Amino acid sequence: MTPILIHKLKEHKIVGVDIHKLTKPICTEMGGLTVLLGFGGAFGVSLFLSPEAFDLLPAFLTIIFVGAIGAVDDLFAFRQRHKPFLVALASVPLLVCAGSFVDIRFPYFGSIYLGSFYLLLVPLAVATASNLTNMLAGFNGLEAGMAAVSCFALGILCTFSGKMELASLAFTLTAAYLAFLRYNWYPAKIFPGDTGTLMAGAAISSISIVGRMEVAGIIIMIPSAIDFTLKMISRNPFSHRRVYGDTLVDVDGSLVPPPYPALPHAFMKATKLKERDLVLALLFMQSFYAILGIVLTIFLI
Amino acid sequence: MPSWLDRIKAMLIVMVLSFQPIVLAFLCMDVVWFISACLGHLLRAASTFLSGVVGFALGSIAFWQILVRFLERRGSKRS
Repeated sequence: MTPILIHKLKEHKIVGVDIHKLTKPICTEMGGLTVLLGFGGAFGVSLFLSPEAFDLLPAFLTIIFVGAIGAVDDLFAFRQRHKPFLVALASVPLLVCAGSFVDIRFPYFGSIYLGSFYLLLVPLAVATASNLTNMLAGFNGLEAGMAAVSCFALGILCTFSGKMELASLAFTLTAAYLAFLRYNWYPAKIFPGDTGTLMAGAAISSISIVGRMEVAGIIIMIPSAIDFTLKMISRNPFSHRRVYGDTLVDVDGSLVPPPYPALPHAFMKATKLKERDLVLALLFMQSFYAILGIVLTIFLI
Repeated sequence: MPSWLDRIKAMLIVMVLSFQPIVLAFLCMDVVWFISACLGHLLRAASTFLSGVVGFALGSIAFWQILVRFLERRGSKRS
């Protein structure tokens, strides 16, 4: 599906510049649409075939709605401050699933009782996770790779806890992101756009909430959370690129970070890295936190 | 370009330092969790959650500052 979409999106001039290459090639945007269609089609069919999977309809709808918001954002560019509200609104179906949840189980602290306030945290969690995954992005293969690692880790946790339908949802998403990664990997032919990045956050938060694996979801989101916090503590937190410019590319292909804190910039400051090496380093970090989330959830909660 | 070993070393430095936000968030949550034992369930949960967020933000600042200083020192030693 992706090669056809690349062709169609190029025809409609939905393209962007790959700024982390010396030649600045033009790439197709909004590739997350293939993930949305692939996941929607595959899991949509399973909803009709398996009555048990029907319990996951709220999570499925939330992920699809957030993906659709991302697609509209790619086409018409929402204002940054409107996006969290729209994503929070898209998480309303998830409230059906979370209606009876009243506490979160943390390692060491035990069960923290929230009562009906849990329901208020659901839209907040989906909006936060979606925006976190949307911000740690911009390098070939990073968004799709991180989403695949995160969904795979949550799928493993669901399998361990016997939630097989939810595991199949997580693994369907993993497969969709991996299939997309083939075309998004360095040198990318297509970018995921907000369709792919917002949907990844919605997927992580929805699976974590429905599977009662909130702490695992939080741990998996730590690299994105560090990146977000670093950007927020700096000067001009909402206009970095306008004020400081983009990451530059040296003649040898290594990346030169602009002067503001961010997680990819930490790696670039620590050593000279090409785009592919930087993405591998960030994926390694994401995998580490995914394993940590699995281990802590299985052994401590 | 630096060797693979240098790149892996740099990656491990960043990864180890990235534990600071988690450690500080945990410490803040732990302190507030014990202090707020006399409060009701919801106030205790809210204050613990907020202290975790504050700790994470402080840890992120520490992560960046220590990384930058560490790299400056390492750079000056090399030169």
